[in-house]
Formats: sequence, C-alpha cells, structure tokens
Amino acid sequence: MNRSINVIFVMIALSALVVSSACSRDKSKPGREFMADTDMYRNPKVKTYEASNLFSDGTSARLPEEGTVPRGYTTYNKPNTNEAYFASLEKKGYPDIAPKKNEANLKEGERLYIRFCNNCHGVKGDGNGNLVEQGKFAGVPTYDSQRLPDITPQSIFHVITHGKGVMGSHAAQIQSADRWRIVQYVLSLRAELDGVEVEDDQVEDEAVSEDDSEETEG
Amino acid sequence: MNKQRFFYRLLIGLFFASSVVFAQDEADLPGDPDNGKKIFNAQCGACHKLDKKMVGPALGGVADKYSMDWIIAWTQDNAALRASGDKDAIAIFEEYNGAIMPAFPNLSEQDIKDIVAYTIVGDKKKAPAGDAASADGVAAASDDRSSGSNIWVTLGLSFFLIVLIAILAKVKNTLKVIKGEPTSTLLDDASVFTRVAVRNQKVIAVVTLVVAVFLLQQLYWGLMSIGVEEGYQPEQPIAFSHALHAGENQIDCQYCHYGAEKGKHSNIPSANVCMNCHTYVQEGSKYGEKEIDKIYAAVGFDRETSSYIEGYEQKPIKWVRIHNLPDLAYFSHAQHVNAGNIECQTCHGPVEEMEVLYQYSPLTMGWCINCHRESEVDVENNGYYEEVHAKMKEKHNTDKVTVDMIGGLECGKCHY
Repeated sequence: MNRSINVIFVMIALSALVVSSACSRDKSKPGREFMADTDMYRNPKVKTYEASNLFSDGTSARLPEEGTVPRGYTTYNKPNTNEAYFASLEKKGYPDIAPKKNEANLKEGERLYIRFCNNCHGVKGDGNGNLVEQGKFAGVPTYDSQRLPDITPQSIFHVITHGKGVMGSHAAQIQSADRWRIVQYVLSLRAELDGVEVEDDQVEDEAVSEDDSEETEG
Repeated sequence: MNKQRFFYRLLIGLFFASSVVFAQDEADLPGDPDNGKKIFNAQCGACHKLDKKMVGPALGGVADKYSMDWIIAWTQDNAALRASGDKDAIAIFEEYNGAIMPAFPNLSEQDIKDIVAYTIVGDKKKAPAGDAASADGVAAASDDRSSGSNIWVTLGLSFFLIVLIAILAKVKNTLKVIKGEPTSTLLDDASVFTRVAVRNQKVIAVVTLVVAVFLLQQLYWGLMSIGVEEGYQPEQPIAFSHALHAGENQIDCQYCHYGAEKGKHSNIPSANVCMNCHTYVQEGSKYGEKEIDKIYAAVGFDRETSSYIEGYEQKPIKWVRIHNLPDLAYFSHAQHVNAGNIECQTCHGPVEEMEVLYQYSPLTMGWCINCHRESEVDVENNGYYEEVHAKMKEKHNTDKVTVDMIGGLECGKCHY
C-alpha cells in the first residue's frame, strides 16, 4: 500500500521534471508578448536603426541634410590630407571657437581622454596604454616633445578629427567642443612628460569654421 | 667611421658569444634584434608590420631590397631623400599614394641597424604565445551558458531509471521463480498498483493536489513571463565578444556606445568605430580572420592592402536588438547616465564577462519602480533648492531624497 503511493510519487516527480525542462524557454527567441501588435505596446512607427522601405538604401537612419549644421555643433572643413595636417602644424594656439582653457574644461578633457584615448595612448600619454602593454597594438607615440616636436593644439585636433596612420577618425564619437577639451588635456600630459609648465597659448583669431562648410560631423 | 665599425663589430662579437639560440644568424646581423624590437614596437609598429602591408609597407626583408645607407637616410629624413631626387624613395612614396612617413632624426644609425636586424630575425618567440592564446579561446568557448544540454541530461536520467525498473522487475521475477511462486510482468504490477491507488481516496486527493499545484504554477509562470524578455540571448551576425572587448581589453562601454550620455538611445556603434581598432588588429584571438572579415565586408576594406576599396557599396551590419522596451514606456539613457550617474552594469549586468550578450534585467515596470524607490538623489551642493529638499525629507520622515520623492513614480514620467 505505502509502496504503491511511493511509486506514484516517483512517476509524478519524474514527469514533472521532464515537462518543466521541456518547457524551458528558448533563449534565442525574445519570448511571448500579449497583443503586441496593438498600438500601445508596439507602435507602428520606425524605431531607431530599424530597416525601412521608405528610403532607397533600406535604412531608417538618415544623415543630416547637406549644408546644415545641427544645433550645438561646429564644422571642421579641413580635409584629411597631408597638406591640411602640415598647415595645422603651422598654426599656434587655440582658435576662438574652442572652449576656454580652465580647470573645468581640463577636467572634462581628462574624463574623455580616459574614455577615448587611454587604451592606446596610456594614462600618462606615454604611448603605453593597456592594449599596447597586452601587445595588441604597437608603435603608439608618446606625446613628449622629443618624439613629436611639432604638434600644436590645432594639429592634435586635426588628428582626433581625421585620424592619422592606423588611428581612425574619432569625429563621430567626440563632438568638436569635447575634442578641444581633450586637446587641452593632451597638452597638459605633454607638459608633464617634458617636465615643464603648460605654456599659455595665445588665442588665435582665425576661427576654425570660418570657411564655407562642406561636411558636417556627428 | 672606422672606430664605429670596430665598436659595432665588437658588439656583434659580444652578442655572438652570449647568444646560443640565434648563433647561426647573429654573424650576419647588422645590429641587436632585441633592442630593434623595442624600438620597432615603440616607433614603427603603428604603421608597419613585418609580414603585412599596413599604412606603410611590410618591413620583413627590407634589408634585401635596399642598402643599409639608403634605409638610414630614408628613416632619418625621407623628405630630404626624396628632395634629393632618389628614384627608389620617390617610387615608394608614390606607391603609397603620398602617405607621408614622419622623419625620425632621433634614431641613431645604430638604432636603425638594430631595427633592420629585428626585421631579419622576426618574431621567433611569437609562435608559442599564439598557441597559448588559442587554447584560452577554446576554453572560453566551452564556457558558454548552456541551457540546451539540460534536456539531454533529463532524458538520459529518465532512460537510466527505466532500465533500473526493468532490471528490478527481472530480479523480482527470478526470486519468485526460485521460491516457486507465479511470476508477473511489469504491466501486471503496474495495473495492481493503479487499481489499489484508484480505490484509495487519500491517494487520489494527494495526486489531484500535486497535479493541480503543478499546473497552476506552470500557468502562473507562463502568464508572468509574457512580455518579460529577461535572458534573451539572440545570435548576432558577428560573434562579437563583450568579454574580450570590455573585459580583457578594458575598453570603456562608452567608447563605442558614446550616445548613452548624449541622448535617449544608447547607440550601436557604426562600423567606423570597429575600424578604429580593426584597421590594425586584423586577426581575432578566437575566430581568427572569420569574424573580422564580416566588418571588412560591410565597409569595403581590403585586408591584403590594408586600405578601403574605392567605390565599394557599403552595407549595414544587421545586429539583433536585445532590449525591446514596449513603446508605451519612455526611457532615456542620457537622464540615467548623467543625472542618475548609474553604472551601465546596474541595468545591463556583468557585460564585461558576457561572451554572448543577453538581457540581464527584466525591464518590467516593477523593476523600474523599485529602483526609483531605492535610488538616492544627489542633492548636495544644490543651495537653491535646499529648503525644498529639507521639506521633502521631513515629509517622508527620512534623511535622504529618493527618486520617487521628486516625481519618479508619476505615471506621466514614463507613460505619455
């Protein structure tokens, strides 16, 4: 009598185990939704990054209209050429469009430097970032004035914007005002590596966005 | 010059004497390859590799193509060499579409000879390191979250139990035969048990209760999981590993997802962000060239020449979206990252350990509300609202201001 009850329990426990494991969800599928097609839960609107037949290239993401500049953005129309890079080496100081040199901007520059540059260029700017130390990257220059004697704020800005060598353009990731803040911090690292005070660069009158703009970042 | 030559011979002699492994090659080498490797990694590696074209040409075998004097002249100031009308220099400049190599006046002749020595010797010690890396990769691969194997474990156990029952029945029958009693099959036994059980009301009651509880629980879980996609782990078009990029390489989340602090949406990085590193890193530690080739196919990058293909029709990479918040709820990343100062991992979990990304949080309303009740608002140094904040603390009888006190539970905050 007792034995038969035991057997029944074993059978039930066994079937429960099988059923519950068989019902476990397939993690590669998003799962069930209740009346998801109603307007409340899933609007029939185009979501970020969604494919769309509205445009010939099949994506819903659009570029800004040519010749327009989004609010809060500035343009940088120096092309990615050797000539433009050498020209930026000739210009001393910051353009007046750059954020002022002060403690707050320098601190923000540091925060962004740690996020966007640190992995290769290193905390001290000596080219020994953690990716270099792991041997995944090589040849990252130190910022000191022996290795890079000619760099100026504008050339650093040019390189962040367009990249140089195997370094890619960071214009999409870092907005132009933030790039100037990083320039401030890079120069403070350079001064530290050289063991000198940061020189008080004079603000140059020529604005970077003076010419007619051809391309818009962002 | 003679003195220098003597010194350089002496250096090689010393090296020759001290070295065992490379003894054969050392005699012909122009310098110290170990020192050359150091300089190469610090100064040249950004644009040159030994065996592959990068921004500049592959440097392996450079000593066979050009004379040592030419290499020294080129490295120290290639612009001057080109200006002097050297044909080789102009040819190589034009082959690389006028990509300018900076002058390296700081490198002494001996430094450059060391580098050339390194380009001759190459990375002999590289091979074992590569093996170790791939072994790590395999170990990591088998460490994936494996929910699919559970069902096989269960089936295996069930089969084992059935076999066990059959064996026991056989043993029982054998014993009965020895005792001289009539044998019974497994089915006979089962029907006897069932008949006894069906006649017994207590058994019926217990079985009904168990079955009912089980079904209700399944029903409850089923209903509660509607619209909750916690654990969703779709297969992505590229086997991108957050464990490698965010974990091992320690790349900041917002290096790629830089939109999180700027707007509502935390962006999926466009392929140019991938290319910031993968112009240089052309081989993965786990999948080799296979997965990185998918980025190259999207943007039109030729791995042979390390350059973009002109006129290539670029294709977007179709990543599968994991976090699908219903459209009836509004959520802004910028607010949570900037004002809330919340770590990405608070909601997204230990992404830096995820080989394949999955949804960590349930994204249910209860989950949102709970966090809004518990999260403290930083009201320090906000003199203008000091009085208001003091009154809030008094009203709620607590010493901290939480999100719900400043309207974090209002319906219209998220639903409008």
